[in-house]
Amino acid sequence: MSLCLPTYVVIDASSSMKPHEAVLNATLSRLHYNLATNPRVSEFARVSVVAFSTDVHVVIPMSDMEQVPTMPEVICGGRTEYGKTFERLRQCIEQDVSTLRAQHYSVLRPTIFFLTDGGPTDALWQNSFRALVDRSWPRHPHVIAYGFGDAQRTVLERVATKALFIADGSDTESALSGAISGLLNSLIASSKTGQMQIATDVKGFEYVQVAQEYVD
Amino acid sequence: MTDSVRTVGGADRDGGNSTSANGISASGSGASGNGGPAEDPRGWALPRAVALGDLGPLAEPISEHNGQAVAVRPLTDHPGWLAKLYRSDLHPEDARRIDLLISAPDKLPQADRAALYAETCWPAARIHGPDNPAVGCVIPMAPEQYRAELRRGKFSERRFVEIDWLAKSDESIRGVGLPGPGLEGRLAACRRLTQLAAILEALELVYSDWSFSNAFWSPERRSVYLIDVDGCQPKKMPDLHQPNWADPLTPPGTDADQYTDRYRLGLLVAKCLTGHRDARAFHTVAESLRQAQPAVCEVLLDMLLATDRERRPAAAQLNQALNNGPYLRAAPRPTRSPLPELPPVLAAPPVLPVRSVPSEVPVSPQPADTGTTGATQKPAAASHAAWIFVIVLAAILLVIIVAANH
Repeated sequence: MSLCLPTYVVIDASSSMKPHEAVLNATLSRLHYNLATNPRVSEFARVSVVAFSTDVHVVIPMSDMEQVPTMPEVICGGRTEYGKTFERLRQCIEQDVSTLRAQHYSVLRPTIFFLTDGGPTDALWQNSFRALVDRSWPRHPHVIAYGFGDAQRTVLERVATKALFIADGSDTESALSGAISGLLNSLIASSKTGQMQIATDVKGFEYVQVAQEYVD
Repeated sequence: MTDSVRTVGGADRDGGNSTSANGISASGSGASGNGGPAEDPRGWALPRAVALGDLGPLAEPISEHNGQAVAVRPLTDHPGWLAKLYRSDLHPEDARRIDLLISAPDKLPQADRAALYAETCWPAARIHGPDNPAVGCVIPMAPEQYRAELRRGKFSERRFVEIDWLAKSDESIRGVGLPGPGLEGRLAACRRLTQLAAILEALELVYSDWSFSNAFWSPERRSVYLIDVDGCQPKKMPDLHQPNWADPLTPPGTDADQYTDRYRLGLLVAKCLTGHRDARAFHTVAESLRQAQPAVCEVLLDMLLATDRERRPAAAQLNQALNNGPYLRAAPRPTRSPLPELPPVLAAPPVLPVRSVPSEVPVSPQPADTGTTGATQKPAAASHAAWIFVIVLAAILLVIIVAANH
């Protein structure tokens, strides 16, 4: 059975990202190109792209990116609703892991790359988050968070279960590019070893080691 | 080409150095001993053991922290050559092993030596430092013919084409702007690959690292180029774990040997010949390839499924079969484990209703040519369904018309 890492690229597409929309889309297209032209990586890391603002949208369902013809354009706007996002991710993971197993994959623990430039606008997001990372749920994912712009470090320290990257003062557009490069390098490294490997040297970001799986 | 055809001398032709049973030079200086090596036909000008300081300036790394290397850096004063610098935890005996590798081609027939030099990054010199006999080694740069422009959408990049691509369908390969190889192109590349494997096996070297990432492929020339060969070890070596390449008959924690190599080579060739990366590769070999290449089919199935790992046929057998030669299988036939279970046919993923989302949403309409974000949704499938619908509709109308006229 082939090994497979369910990977969720979760992007903040709220109104604060509107000025950086073009760079966001160019960066996503570049991610798509790099995955689609690396068969070994796209075979190992099945990727789903999720954009969130007031609502949550599965832009690309769990796929071999080589089979995805093009990356849809994301138009930013709305609030930064964390709670709905975590709730939807739990549903996606439940379904995607079952689908991958049915396709005879040995499925590794899912990994969420969470990219945001702001804090949550919903008050009760932590309930959904707890359900997502609840260790008693066998499919609970790793969360690797990248914060830039007005992202709140204290919030992201609670969200990141595996690693946290905080922009070191870089502008949002450079940070976006750096975050996607870091994400890609992590997937490349993981595909070589067959287990989650995090590229900790990410341009424009401070790597914050997560000492525990998650913080309540 | 069979094992018996290849003769690898146990004695050191360069004189001076004693050679152990497994071919390792005991002098520590390899073929650069008393008699000195034959001149490197690739043009490496310095000795086969060279101090780091004698190499001249090193350019910026082209690769870092990859496997056993901390960096691979071009040699500014020696165009076309690279210094592969190892991690500091290599053992002193690695110096002797590298010397063995450097001198190994001297013992080969001319054709095999030429193949090894032209189609692998065979090390040319060991690099030593004041306190470290194996700082690294000098290897040639892969030839430019193994680079190609990979295009997808509006992006394009010139880079080395890994043999990974050969384990994709012709359609996928054409999808990034490379020419589709067809069966002939796949056979040609696999012939080169298996010839190199047969040479390594004749030298009693274990590679262990047969996989998609360690060979480049030239679709135009139908050739391959093997990299990371400086990691080869005599007889056996720690099994390099790579996901999806585990030999089911080499238990975790045990060494890889020639039989492990045979399994991985068989797996690589099966995937590259069929363009499938999962269990379908096995089934395609057993079914389609049996008609077109019966000897190749039998060799591959024995390599992949023999229940006794020591009954796996040699790389040279596979090379011979790929060159339309016979498979000379010792009796009785090895017993085989059953073919792995086929994965189910992929279901189409859920479709994002991009045109029906509320106004305050972050996703724009899809480009007109795709319509959906469904990964496995193919226009051909939709077209097929539409034709079925039209035919059924026409049949119903025909029945109504016939009924109405009676």
